[in-house]
Amino acid sequence: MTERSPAWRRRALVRRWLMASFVFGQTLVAGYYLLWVLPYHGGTIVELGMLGLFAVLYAWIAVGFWTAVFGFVLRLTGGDRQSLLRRHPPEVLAQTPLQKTAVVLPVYHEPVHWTFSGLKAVFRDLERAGQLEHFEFYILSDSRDPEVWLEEQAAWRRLCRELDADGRLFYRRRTVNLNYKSGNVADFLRRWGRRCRYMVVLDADSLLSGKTLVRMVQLMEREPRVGILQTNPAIINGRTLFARLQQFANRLYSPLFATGLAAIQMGDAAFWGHNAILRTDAFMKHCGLRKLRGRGLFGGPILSHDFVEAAYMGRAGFEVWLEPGLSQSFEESPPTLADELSRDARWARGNLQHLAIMLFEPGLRFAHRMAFMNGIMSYLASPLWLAFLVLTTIEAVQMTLLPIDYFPEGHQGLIPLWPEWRPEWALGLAVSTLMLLFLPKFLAVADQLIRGSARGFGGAVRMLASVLLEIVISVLLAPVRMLTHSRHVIQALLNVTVRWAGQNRTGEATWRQALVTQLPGMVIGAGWSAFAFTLDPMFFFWSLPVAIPLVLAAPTHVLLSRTGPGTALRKRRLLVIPEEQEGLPLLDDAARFRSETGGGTSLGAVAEAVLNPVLNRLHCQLARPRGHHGRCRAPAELTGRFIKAGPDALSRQELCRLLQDRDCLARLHTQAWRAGPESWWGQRIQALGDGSR
Amino acid sequence: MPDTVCQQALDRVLTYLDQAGVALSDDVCRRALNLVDAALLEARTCGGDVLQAAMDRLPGYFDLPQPAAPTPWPPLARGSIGYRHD
Repeated sequence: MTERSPAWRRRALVRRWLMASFVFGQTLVAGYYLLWVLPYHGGTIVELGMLGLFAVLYAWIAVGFWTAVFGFVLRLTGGDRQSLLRRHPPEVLAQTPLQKTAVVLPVYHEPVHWTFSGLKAVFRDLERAGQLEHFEFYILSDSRDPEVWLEEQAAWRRLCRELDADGRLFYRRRTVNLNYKSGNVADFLRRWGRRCRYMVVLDADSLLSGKTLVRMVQLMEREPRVGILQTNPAIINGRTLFARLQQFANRLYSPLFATGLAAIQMGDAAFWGHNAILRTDAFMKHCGLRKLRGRGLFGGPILSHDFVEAAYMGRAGFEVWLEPGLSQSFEESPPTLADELSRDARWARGNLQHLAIMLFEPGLRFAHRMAFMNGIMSYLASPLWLAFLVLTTIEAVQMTLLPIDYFPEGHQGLIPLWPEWRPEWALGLAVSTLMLLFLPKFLAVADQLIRGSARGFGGAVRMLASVLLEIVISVLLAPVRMLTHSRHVIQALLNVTVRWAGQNRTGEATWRQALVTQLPGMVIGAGWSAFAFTLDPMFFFWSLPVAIPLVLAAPTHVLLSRTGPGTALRKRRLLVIPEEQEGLPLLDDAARFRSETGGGTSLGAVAEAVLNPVLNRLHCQLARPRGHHGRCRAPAELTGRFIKAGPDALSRQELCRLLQDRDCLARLHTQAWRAGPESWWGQRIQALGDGSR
Repeated sequence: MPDTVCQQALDRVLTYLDQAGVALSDDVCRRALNLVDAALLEARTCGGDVLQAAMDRLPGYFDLPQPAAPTPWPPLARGSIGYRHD
């Protein structure tokens, strides 16, 4: 695209300069304060190191703070007039004809019934909106476990029948999983990329209302420069205390942060990988992800694809917008801290990998390089904080155990450098840091009170109580996350492989799991605090906000993973969100569909695929015709073992070899039904017969 | 009393029909009995397993429903992914 630069760029420039001057101005003042708080005023290497780390960390949290302030002010004044939604009157948008749009759901070992029920709710909502004819749905599976992909295929068939969606709801499974989720989507585009003008990408836990989907397509039609339009999904369906806290925090604070972020990024926003619409031809033309050519972490396939795709889209001259005004877009939180941290291990690796792209990829917009920096800092901030604590401890040791150095390294001259202690300045600095961290939360409360929508959060008093509870828990979690993220960063930089797997979306943590995972942190916290006590009582007290959460990590972990406390608080209307009070057909449908039984039997998907004549026929049609003249090409020993001892006698690879082959599947069906009554299959058939009588 | 071979064969046939979506009416049961009778005769005269003989004969006795599977994917409309060359 070689058209004239759009008008929003000038406004974005002004906003970004304003933001930068607030952030760096405030950081300069805070750094100056720190210099005077430090005993040698930056006169030693340790103090210079502390100053450098402090400046980076302070600037990092100041970015978050000013983003929220921008958001607060914009919402107070009626919203950002530059946003895409505000450019077009609702009646004009409503009259905009729709274009064919693919709704794609990439899955990898997700809970099948639960995930497909969510898609069913989206389908039904589009049907209610009367616009189904413009949309096609694609389930794109990367699942490798036959128990999972056979269940997916059976569930897809059921869904097609229930929704009368033959020819509108498709299923495709890759047997060769190259390049993770982005490879899965690229595989889809290579096959059907020219069928649809737009593509909406969902995650396994995504829910988007029909109204929002329609509005997204209409906006894309009205804004041909836009390549990606990202919604700001609200977290819902939290059941454990951890998920309910995340959900409450997201629902209350996120409007401020998202509005501020969207106002600063404008058409240079990021893509978050799901709950977004993409212009298919532009995406295919410009967003191919080459393997990185570096070493270690910086070589091989790109792990976190979404930010890179947004940057490539921007490089090609297309705009990427975050539109917080597009409501009714939902996702879910990991149920436990362990699940979140496990997901963070992958994300940390992916974000750190962006360092190579941020520094060396030519032609990217500066705003997108900053988006990479933001993502990298999400994880790098943790080891930096840890390093700051280490330097602080060294400083305390030097001040306590070593004689005062009146002429530290770098300090020349005849006048000694007198160590000074200014507690009032230290207090001012601490208060300013706390303000950066916590004031946005109270701005969010004020925002809801001003709008008169506190009722959705349980009323003003309960909303405030919920915020205080959330603050306490976030203070307890911050050091735990810091230690774990530090480990993730080190592992990523050392290129230690991280398992790529679907999320746990249901389970609770056990005491054993919590103790095993949190023990190192508990020991570090207790040991550091004890050491601080031996040095200086003041330093001991200073260490407690970090040490206590570490020592309490295991009980915190277990408590947060429980659904009981989450339910109890909900009954008292604490940590509630508007969607739980008002209801929404999309969410009600999703909850109802997920609570219904899945339709499978106790046999397991593999045995059912072999025995059930209808499903066997379906799986045969979806499998590859590998053999010639109806011959199964798997070794006879393999089929023999399968028929003699059942699926458990074969490895996953062996099972895939049999079950991906159309002729083998058909042969297994025939042989299993001819097996003797006492055999493994005979007993399963007997159980089927008993069950149906 | 342990199941006799014919009872096992009849159970197997009826279970298969049920799994295939055939309603087990009186007529279906009569035909299943005929099938098992034929399978027993075959096993006695030619040797072999009654269960297998019954299952082999099943398609000849019943028109099993052949529900069409949904269309797994639409006709191809291939696109190519663009990779920038520096």
